[in-house]
Amino acid sequence: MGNEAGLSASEVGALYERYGFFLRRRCRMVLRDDALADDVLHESFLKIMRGGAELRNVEHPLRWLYCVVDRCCFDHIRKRSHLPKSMDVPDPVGPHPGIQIETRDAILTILEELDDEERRIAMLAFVDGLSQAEIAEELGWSRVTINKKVQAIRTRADRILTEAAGSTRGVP
Amino acid sequence: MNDHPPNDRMEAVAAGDRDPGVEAHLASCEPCRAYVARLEDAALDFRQKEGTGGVFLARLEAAVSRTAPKSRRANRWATAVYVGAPLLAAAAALVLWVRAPGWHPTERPGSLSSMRLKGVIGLAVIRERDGSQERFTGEVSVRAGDRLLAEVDLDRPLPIAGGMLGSNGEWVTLFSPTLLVPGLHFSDQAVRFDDRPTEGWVIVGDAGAVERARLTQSFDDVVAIQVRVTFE
Repeated sequence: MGNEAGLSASEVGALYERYGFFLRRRCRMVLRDDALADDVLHESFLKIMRGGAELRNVEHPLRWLYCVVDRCCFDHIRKRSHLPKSMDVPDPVGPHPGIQIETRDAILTILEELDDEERRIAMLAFVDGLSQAEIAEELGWSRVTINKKVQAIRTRADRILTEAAGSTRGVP
Repeated sequence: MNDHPPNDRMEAVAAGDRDPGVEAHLASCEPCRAYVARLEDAALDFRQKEGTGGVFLARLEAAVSRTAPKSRRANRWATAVYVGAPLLAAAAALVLWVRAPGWHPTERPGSLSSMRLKGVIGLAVIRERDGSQERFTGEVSVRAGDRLLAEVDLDRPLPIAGGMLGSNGEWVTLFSPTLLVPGLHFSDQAVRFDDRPTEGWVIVGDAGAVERARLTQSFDDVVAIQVRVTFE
């Protein structure tokens, strides 16, 4: 099953056993749809099986895998006009202690409005909690560029949060 | 952004990766330690449900073989002619070795080895509960009022039958014996659990193998997913 560019079935099986939960959780968080999350996870592993040989040499395998999974999620976001606003069953684990859940959820809601570059930055900044310096290093851009983009994304998320707060106040 | 390590590195540690920087942070940060512990618990639960991931892998392999270019498939057959015999001999030797006395396989029905035995049949069950659906590829738990459907993924035309075999021997058909084309299929019938649900197995395979599994409760020649009862 394996080829030069890809991974063998046993390697993929080991990855699934070790990281499957985390990758599915990521898909679920971004897409807010269990069935779609399963499909995207399957599709991501197909890509990994066919062309994931590079993974053998990366320092942080999970970050590399998240990159693949995120791209597959973004493909589906582009194809679908609307995703559910929230999950029927919330994530039982809860958020990373350093992440503001309201901001993160607002960012996830506006992913559909962002381009792929902004989505990648949004995920690294507001979901993974990387600093701007770490994002700049990860993506190979200047810190100033990252700072501008993060601020622009945050402004859009703040608008969503303000609107949400307004609509909540309007509820009798 | 904050004083905690990035989320992906904490999750990697929860997955079992080594990261001295994160581990040092965890030693002194209670919220992060609690977060990683919750992740570990949830990951363990996922692994218990998924088993060895055999069904997931089988579906992947089916998809890979379905989408392989035809020329590659032809080459594969040509290669098989040249290398098939020695490989078969090696496989036979391996089977003899693992079946030797003293070796006790502990894999559950439906795990990787039993999946590959039948070529590639991907089996999952869909549980309907309180108006929502959830898909399982490992063990599934049910309670009164739940419904179960079967989902079968094939990479080649196969005559398929399937249903749920209760631990008391009761049988409910999900797939009447029929020839299914490659692709994803959902059972046209469902199992509904009354107020006294029965444990058992959802099994799928060719009609003869399913019949034998029903009689013997041995699932070597079929794909199976265990159904457990919970009383929540």
